[in-house]
Amino acid sequence: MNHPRPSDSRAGSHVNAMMKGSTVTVHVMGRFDFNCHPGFRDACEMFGEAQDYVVDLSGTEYLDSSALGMLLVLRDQVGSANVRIVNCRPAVRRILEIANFGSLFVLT
Amino acid sequence: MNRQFLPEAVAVSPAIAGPGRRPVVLVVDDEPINRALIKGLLQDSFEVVDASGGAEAVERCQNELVDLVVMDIQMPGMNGFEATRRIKGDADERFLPVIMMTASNEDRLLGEGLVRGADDFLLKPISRVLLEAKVGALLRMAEVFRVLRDQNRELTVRRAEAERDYQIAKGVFNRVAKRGRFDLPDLLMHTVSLDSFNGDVVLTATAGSTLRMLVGDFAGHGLSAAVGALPASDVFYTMSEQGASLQEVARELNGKLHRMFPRDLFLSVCLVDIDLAGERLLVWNGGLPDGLVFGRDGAVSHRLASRHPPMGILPASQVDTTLVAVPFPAGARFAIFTDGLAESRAPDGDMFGMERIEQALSGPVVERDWSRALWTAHDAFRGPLDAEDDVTFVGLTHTPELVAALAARQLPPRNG
Repeated sequence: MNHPRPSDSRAGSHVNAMMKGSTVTVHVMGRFDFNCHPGFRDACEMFGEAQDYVVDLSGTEYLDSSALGMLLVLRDQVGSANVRIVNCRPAVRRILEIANFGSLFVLT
Repeated sequence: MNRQFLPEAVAVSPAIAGPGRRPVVLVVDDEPINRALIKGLLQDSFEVVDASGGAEAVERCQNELVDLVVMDIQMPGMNGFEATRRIKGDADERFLPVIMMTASNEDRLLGEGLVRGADDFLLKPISRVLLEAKVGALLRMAEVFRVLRDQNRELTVRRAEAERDYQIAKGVFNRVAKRGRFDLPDLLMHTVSLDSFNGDVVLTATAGSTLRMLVGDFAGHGLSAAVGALPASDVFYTMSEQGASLQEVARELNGKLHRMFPRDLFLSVCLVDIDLAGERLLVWNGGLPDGLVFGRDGAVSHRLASRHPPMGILPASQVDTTLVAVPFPAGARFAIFTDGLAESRAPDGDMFGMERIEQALSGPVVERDWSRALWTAHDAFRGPLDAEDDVTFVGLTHTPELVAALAARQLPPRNG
């Protein structure tokens, strides 16, 4: 995997989350990489009582191995059946497919 | 933590105005009446000591704890300018504020005082309000300065510690991560820099006419990669020496990494047995880009796609160790690489991509190091790879020379 490059990450990525019912939807905009770590963790922990998580990657341009790691940590915390990864762009979907995340998450 | 390698231990700096201690102000004037006057103005709030000349002031600052100096300029012997210069020099990194006093209101003299290192000035006769305000402000500034300097020192030490840990991890990783035989004919291995600490691992082992390889890429790099490379290498060599099958190695490696690794550390890896006598490849690919097999005609004959999550994610009980077998006749070529190559980006954001890689490697082989066509294509696309890229490429051609080299390895050493 490529090193996270500060010049790229400064190009801007941010994470936000909202809760509807018992479902938390996390959006990652821009590059989903090491620099998103605190933002992603906070977004996931913001709603303590959540049942289901939807990680919406419609605004994600790229993800690296740290992003895969963050998704795995989330899966570990809430159970694989309760995490859905949705709206991947083709480049992002390819990365998830190479890592066979379809066998670990609900990928739609 | 052994601190002997550190450039500088954390120094305990003298507190300028710690709790429970009144700041010490040194008043320097050759006139006893002036010293007494200023002392009287300050002694309610500060500890006040005095000196009757420049030389004495310098000495007191060397030998006693002084937080701020109020200095007359015109004194017999060492004047205020010279005393200030020496006091500032002795204070070194510490910020010891000096306020200069003068009876003269000549701009020239005042300007000179500031230039020569005084932090502020006061005109005689001294106003109580101004004196208190200036002393208070400068002491607050000195306190901020002290806190910043302490934090900066601590950061410097932490950074030195981190750098040392990094160098140790890098040393361990580089000894462990590229192991085995890379001197075989028609085995190509390229990393952007063998010394770079990128988390890429290449291990090779031989058994009969079979060359076994592990090409992998740890999530993250640095310490986590070094920590992971040790068990991975250990399992790979121990089991291969014991004659374990590739499936057994895959299962054990996965189990061990899963037991050892935190959830966000994993190894994207391709395990492959290149069985030259059997003219086939056995492959387990979890998380690396497609391995490519080229037939004798130069065209891609098989793409060995990742069929599993990277190692370390699933518990041993859930790991699928099904291998893919593809023919690998004489003249065929095999290429496997980490994702840095396909993900390499041109300035406009376009990725190099698998299609370009396949295209560059396809076709008749015109030189023994056929990966050069790939680097040429990449350089044309983006310019040469540099140390920021994490790229590992391994290529192999089924040639009589490679077969002979592996066979030679099996023979007992000849005498004479």
